[in-house]
Amino acid sequence: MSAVAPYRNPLDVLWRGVPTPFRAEVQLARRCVAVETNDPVLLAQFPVGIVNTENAVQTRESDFLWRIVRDEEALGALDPGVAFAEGPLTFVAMGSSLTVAVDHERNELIAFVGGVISPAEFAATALPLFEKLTLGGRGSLNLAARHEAGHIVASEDADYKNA
Amino acid sequence: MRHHAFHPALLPLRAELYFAGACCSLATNSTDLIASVARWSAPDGSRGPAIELHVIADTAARRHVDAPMHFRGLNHLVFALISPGEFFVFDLLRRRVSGVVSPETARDAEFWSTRMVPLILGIMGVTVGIVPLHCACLDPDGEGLLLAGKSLAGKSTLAVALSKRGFALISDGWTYLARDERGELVARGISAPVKLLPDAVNHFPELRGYRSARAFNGEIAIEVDASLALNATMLCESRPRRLVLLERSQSARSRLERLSADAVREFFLASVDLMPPPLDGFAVSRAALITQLSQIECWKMRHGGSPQEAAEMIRSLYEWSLSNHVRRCAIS
Repeated sequence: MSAVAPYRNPLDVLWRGVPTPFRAEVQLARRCVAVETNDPVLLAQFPVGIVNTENAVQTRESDFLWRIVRDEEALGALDPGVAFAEGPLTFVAMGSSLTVAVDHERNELIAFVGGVISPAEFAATALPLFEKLTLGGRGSLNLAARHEAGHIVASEDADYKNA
Repeated sequence: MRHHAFHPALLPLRAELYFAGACCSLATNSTDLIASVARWSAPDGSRGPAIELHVIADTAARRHVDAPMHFRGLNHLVFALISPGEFFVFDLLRRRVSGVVSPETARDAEFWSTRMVPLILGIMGVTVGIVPLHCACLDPDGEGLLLAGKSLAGKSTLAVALSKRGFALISDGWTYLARDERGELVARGISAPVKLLPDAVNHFPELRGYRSARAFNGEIAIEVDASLALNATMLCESRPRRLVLLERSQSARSRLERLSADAVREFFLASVDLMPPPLDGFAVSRAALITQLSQIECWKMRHGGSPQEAAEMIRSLYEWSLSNHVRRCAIS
């Protein structure tokens, strides 16, 4: 379990106003990503050399924003997950403990990371997913659903089978 | 990981829906879902900006009835996880709801009427000019009466007591406020079940035999179809003209006093959902609608007696207010 205090606001059951005061900048290939989170432990999981927490408040022009929220109330284990893409939006849910959406039009990634996800699991599972979703652009999950005999047939992505 | 791509060719079945003033264009691959939402088919002539609803029924998804729904949102997006493999994403900026459900969920008409329709209105309503307000709405004779108040103020029991005095019931828990094409306020409901605390059976004996259960919001409550269980007259919409803000009191005597427009505005603005920065425009139009609502005749009622006594007092107020209004019109 992380040490982040649960967010409580009776007018905000969806957590839309959760503060994310801890900031960093991350260099991913040619992208400069501004990261905001409510859990500083998650920032410590970024590989050394790509992250800058010293002058994290926009020292240069960031072209992508990650908002990562530690969600102490999401307690389920990671499951194999489900993903969808529609237009500029890609969404991935691996149970309630890891939900991620990327809006490629707005250059934003938002994610909720459950309280049961250890820092090591975050580094091994969530970070590579965020990176792939960000750098891959639209269609980064190689979505290939087909329509057969009146049913949707969803594809499997081998890259994530072990996630 | 299971992947789905939303593409028009994959969702060939269409239906135009309408609920509480909101137009909704459904695209899906499921004939069961089309049948499940048939009661919400849009009448001819319904118009306005439509919410897009794209739903894939995935034969590999399974429904877990006991799994609690999980909701989270940031910026313009809201996620609803129903059970593993079943989810919805609400995109407020693009006015679109996308989801994947199991075949069981697709054919569950009750789920769509009692869960998804209120969720779509609650989350997406502001994108089409509808403000969900936590209050009941009744209509005694063509003019709407809103009953507001904090949780446990007694809105629902009072609404039922008034419905037994001839007031038609528009809504119990959530009322959807909007402007019509002339800019006038209209309050709508979706004929949702009335939700009462278990002790309501002490005031309404006809509820004996109905069991309490955990409601969608986690409360233990008796949920009944008001027209069947309480013989209430149901209406879809009304023009709100009066508002009563309820407060619980220790005293058995009830008291009524006029309430200022500022107090009403403040009450509603302090009770609506937080709206994050990308949605500032919706927050502004929501506040304007609440300001317009605050201009109607508003009263505060402190009550500690039975819902029947409170209902009697409101009926007297209503008749007095109406006769005053008629007198004023005659003088002018």
